Amino acid sequence: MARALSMATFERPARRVTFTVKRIPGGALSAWLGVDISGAAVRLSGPLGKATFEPGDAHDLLVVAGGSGLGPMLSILAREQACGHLARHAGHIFFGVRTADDLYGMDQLAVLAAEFEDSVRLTVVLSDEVAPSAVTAQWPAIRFSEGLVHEAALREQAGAFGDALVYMAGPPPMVDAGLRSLVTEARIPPARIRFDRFS
Amino acid sequence: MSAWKKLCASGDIGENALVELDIDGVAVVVTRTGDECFVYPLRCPHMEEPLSTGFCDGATVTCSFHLWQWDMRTGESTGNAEVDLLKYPVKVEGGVLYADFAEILTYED
Repeated sequence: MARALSMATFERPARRVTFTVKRIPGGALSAWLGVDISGAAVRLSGPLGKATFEPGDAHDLLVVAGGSGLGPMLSILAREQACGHLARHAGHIFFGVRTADDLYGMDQLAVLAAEFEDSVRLTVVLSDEVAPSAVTAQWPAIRFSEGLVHEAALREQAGAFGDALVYMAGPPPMVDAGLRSLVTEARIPPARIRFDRFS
Repeated sequence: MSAWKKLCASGDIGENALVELDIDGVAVVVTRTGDECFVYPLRCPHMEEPLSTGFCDGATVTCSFHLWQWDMRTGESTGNAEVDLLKYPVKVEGGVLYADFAEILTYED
């Protein structure tokens, strides 16, 4: 069994790597999630993928993440946090899921929002419900919106893309639709778009 | 010697759509902006992704796989594409789009 997964953490030197994996009923890998497999041999190869960040990338940041696509974005954000990038550049992070029950990584996002309150904006976009008041009250530093995350990002960022690097990660339909809008409507040069499709 | 073949009614191609067609075993992608139609080999010269999954905005064709881009009229790279896009000669007569398949266009490996 082989899977392409994105690390959700950034550590150097790394003694532990963390992945974000969605549990799918009946999924072959899902059967191993939550089971103690200490001692089992796991073979890793890589790195793969194109949505990477280097500290020399002197641009503002727009992140559009859907579902498990937030995982690798958390890794990139941790890297940007560690190297001081977010103190020097603005960032807007859009994270989309269906319902508030699907949210994860919120603690890490909230820490980012608190540490970089002047430069980082966080928007959670729910496609299947209006955010319950208990959830919005729990995360006062995070904005909540409704709809599809790529549409919300394009709508709210319209005219204000500047020179931002745009990261997209999520289900293929979301990434494809988002890329189409970024290229044909927002006219972002491809060199400033970094994306991976997660199926 | 030219080898014009009928593809479709030019009006069948939506504005800025990228439509895959098979013309006697030759896979092409067709697009239209205004009165102008363009016909390219279906596969992107980069990784052979079908350009029918890409985007067109009336000026630029973009492959969705790695966002290679070309001028839709000239086929020339407009940025990151390392290979220009090949185009078939086309004509529209009586609302019908024809392309000349005298030479089947392929990219060098």
